[in-house]
Amino acid sequence: MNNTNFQQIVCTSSQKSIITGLDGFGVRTKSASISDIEADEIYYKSGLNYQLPADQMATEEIIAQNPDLDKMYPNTYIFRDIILNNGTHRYIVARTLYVGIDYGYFAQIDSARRAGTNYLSHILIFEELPTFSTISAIVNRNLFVPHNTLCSPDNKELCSFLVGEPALLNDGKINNTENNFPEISIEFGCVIIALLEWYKNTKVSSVEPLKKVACKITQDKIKDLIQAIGTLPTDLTNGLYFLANPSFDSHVPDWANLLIVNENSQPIANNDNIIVDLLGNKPKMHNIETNYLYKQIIEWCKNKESKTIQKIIQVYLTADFNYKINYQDLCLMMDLMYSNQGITIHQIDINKLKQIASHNLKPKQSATVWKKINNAINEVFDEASDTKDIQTTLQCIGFIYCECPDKLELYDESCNFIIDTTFNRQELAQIIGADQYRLEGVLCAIRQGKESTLPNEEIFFNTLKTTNSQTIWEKFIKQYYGNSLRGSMDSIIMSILQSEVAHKDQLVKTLFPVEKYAADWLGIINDNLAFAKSFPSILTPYFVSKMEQSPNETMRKYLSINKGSLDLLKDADKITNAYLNVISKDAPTADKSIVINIVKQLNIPVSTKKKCAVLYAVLTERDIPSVGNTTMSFALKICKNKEYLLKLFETWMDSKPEVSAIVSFVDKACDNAEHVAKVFETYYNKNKSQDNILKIADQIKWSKSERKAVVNYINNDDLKEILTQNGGFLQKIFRKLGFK
Amino acid sequence: MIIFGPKTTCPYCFGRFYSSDVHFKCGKCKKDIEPPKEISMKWLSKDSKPIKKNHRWIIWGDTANCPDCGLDASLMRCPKCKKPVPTEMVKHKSVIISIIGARSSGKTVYITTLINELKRRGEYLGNIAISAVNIDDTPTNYTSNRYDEWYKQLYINSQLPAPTAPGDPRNEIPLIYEIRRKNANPTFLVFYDTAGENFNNVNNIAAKVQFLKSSDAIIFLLDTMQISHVQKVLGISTSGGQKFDGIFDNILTYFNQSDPKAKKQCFNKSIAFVFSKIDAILDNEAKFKETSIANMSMGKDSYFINGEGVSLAEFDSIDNSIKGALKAWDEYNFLNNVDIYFKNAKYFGISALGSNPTPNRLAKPVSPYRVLDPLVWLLHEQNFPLPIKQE
Repeated sequence: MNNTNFQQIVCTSSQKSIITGLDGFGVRTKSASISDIEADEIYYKSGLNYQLPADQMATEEIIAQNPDLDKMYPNTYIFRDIILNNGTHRYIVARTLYVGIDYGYFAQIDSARRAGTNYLSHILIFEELPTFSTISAIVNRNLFVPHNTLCSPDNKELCSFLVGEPALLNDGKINNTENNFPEISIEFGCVIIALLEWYKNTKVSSVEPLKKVACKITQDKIKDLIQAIGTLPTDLTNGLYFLANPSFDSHVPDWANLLIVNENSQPIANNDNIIVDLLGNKPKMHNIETNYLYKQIIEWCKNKESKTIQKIIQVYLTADFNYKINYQDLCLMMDLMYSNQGITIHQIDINKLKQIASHNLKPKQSATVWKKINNAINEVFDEASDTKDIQTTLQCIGFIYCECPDKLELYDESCNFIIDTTFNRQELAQIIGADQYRLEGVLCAIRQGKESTLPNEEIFFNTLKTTNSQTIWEKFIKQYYGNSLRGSMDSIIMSILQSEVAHKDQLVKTLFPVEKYAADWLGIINDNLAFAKSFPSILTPYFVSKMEQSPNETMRKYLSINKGSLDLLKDADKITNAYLNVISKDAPTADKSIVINIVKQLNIPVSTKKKCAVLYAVLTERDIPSVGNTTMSFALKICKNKEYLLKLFETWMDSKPEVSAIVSFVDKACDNAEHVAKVFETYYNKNKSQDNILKIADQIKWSKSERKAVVNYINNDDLKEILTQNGGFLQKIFRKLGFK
Repeated sequence: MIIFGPKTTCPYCFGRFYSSDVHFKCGKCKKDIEPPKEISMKWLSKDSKPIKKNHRWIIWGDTANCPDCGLDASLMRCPKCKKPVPTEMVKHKSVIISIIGARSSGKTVYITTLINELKRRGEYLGNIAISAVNIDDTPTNYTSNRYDEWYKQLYINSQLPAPTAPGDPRNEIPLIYEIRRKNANPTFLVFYDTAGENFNNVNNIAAKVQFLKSSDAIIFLLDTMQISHVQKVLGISTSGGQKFDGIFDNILTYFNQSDPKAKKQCFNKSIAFVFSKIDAILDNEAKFKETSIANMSMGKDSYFINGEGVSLAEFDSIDNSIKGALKAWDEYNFLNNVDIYFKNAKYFGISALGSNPTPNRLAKPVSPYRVLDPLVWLLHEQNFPLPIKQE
């Protein structure tokens, strides 16, 4: 039995405050252990008072005639958190007693006997958050002073707090005994429902302001209600700050989550809050959702099933409210947590497992719940079960394995059963269907089962062949072969090729990605023409992607594939062009032998062959018998030798290229005036066209001096004249406009 | 309507805000409507136009369109605490007057009689009319309801109001009155009735009496019956209660602890030191002999009640008389402190009830004596137009 210590202060309007030495409202007395500053701060921050309308306040006459004010003016209780100026928390429980008249009434001092507002609050102060059961014990054991509440000068206990010198108090102590859950009533059931709803609201992340609980109950039952709430689990009542039995105001204070008002109170002001009205014959609830669980709680209340309610509260507290709760499943959860009996597979399915898995269970609860579920799963494989049960069970296994693998406990016998059913009875397609979790369930059995129970390759593939699901094939093959997947590439691919599985290409590429298995792919394609035929383009992306980094090495690797396979791969042109594209950016890196081998070995179109020939001719600077636009354009890309290009230009002129092509050639191939002069002379000698010469001259971007320099290099006088006589600006404009 | 000008002080949280920052509360869907971050013409009511003044756009309409329900919202709210603020108060001048004093100095009784006298004597103060501004979210906290409760207790039931308890949340709710003259903009008077115990501790003054620093003027009630000389002459028991200036040191400390600017503002405020229950002296002149207050008697009420305007000379005369009496009562220290610290202070003597009550009940009907004097002087100091007698 643990004891909890508390400090205490008494606040009232007295003749002398222990802190200020002054009369009036303030801290009358306090525990010796609490500082003056802290006691004063707690009093002012507690907000304690006994608020009444003026016409309802006690007068001296009323007090004199009927000093038992308790009956007319209820004691108010609060439990709240206070943050001190230094940032630390203090948790206070207080009773406020209406005294009704100032201290002068008790000490015969006329200047201080105004009636109406005086009260006496006894505040118990905790440094750590006390449990609600501690609070309810304080309220019900009546630890508050004065015990004698008679408002009379004859009440020595009360007078000791109002007049004369204040005496220091000692710290208090309360032992934390747990109270028994009361006999359940529908009224208490309603309060429980309201608190469950409030609890849920505190857990759900929402922008809406938190709904608080306001409860109306007759004054004589308020202490019983606080005691009953104290028997509820701490997780539910932790931080349930309350104001109970207020005299006048019926607002739920900002600092409170629970307001308990009596039959004389004004209507509860905050209409948005969860309201439990226990004043009439039949309890009423407002602003609360209707659900299966709450209805069930009322039923259990009617049947006096206290234990069941206690259990369901515990289950409720483990739920994750950000997840959509199925309230019916909470009852299953209760069975799992508390029933001595096990469950069968018919009571669970994947949706229920999702709910169960979302609960935040304590280790012991978790062990109990999952043991029952595992038992239900393993029992299915104990005896001959029908396919539907097996399917459900596999789905459950798969779900648990994927979502919370540490919870799954599959017996060896169960694994054997599943493996046997899958392979030996070849029911794989039937038991898995298209369900991912069932597939995972079978795979889990294979993983957890003994290796000796696994079938040989032949049975394995024969089983797989009963389904055309690419996913099943992929996952089973990966699982079956594990680390030896690479070594068995040939036989796996062969089995795939012989099957009816959908999207074989894709499956093969998923199992053996070319990038990762490039060497293996080259090997198997070299060795097996059937593979090359089956996967004609499987290597192309790999070679194209590698070409940029190391063109010669990649091309050599490609050319190492035997001729038969190369022909079947049907990607020679694409790969050659990829090679030529890379080489055209940096021709000197090209390997002449590769170019020769391309032409010799590969089955490529004539246009590609021509490009290879040009490349070879350029690399060896040999003459080319016929140069068309394509050849010239390719030569311009790969050749840096200007003299050689001007030599090709002469041959090119035979194909009578367009003026724009000549201008482009001048732009790319001519480094100086001599080169340009040579272009003009070559062109003029072959064409003799003055118009074209002038068009070329007009389109070349050159300055007057550059033009002059070119003319100086020209030997042909006619050409010289054409370029000098017609080079003026106006002449150029007229030519553009079409004038002769 | 376009409103611009100085900042408004919220009577609840004392935050200061520009008119253009005021929030609205939709009467239908209760939504808080904030001013737009970027000014949009749609936001303004039909007759509002933006005006640029001192490099700040100060614009606002009397209403704002509720973005949720589309209705025009007209209930203005403080942008900081979201409490209601009267529209006219945002647009026109308000004078926040703190009424402070120790426990039992008679603050609640004084406020009750002061408001009643303002209603009764308005014709002598330039035909002013006052009306309660009921804007609180809770009807029981309406200014008129709270005043009516006190009025009924005092004037009808002849009972003294109960002591104001420090924890009562109504302590922090202002009583707001609009003073209006024909064809003139209104002025708002904001009073607070707080428990005297709140002044017993300097830390509590800062926490519980926030209005003190934000107020424009102060009425400091001093309980005449707690002056040692008065107690001695009248044979009153000295047990219980604190000296008349018991909380004065705390107020000085509180002001002195402020930053230099605020401190200067505090001591520059107009402050009326008002001796309550003055009938105890004036009705016992014989007992006080030469230590009585010169030029004051219960038969001689405020000069303006004659209908000849407010006599500032009369206020000076009373001020001098009370100073003289305080000297005669040996209260030099209090006088010197007031003289040293406060730049614009004046002494007054009033009796809210006009006679000495029994502990809980009035012995005679309420007959206030000079309760308006301090307020009239403070209003004059705040440049409120009053009929002043040319002397």
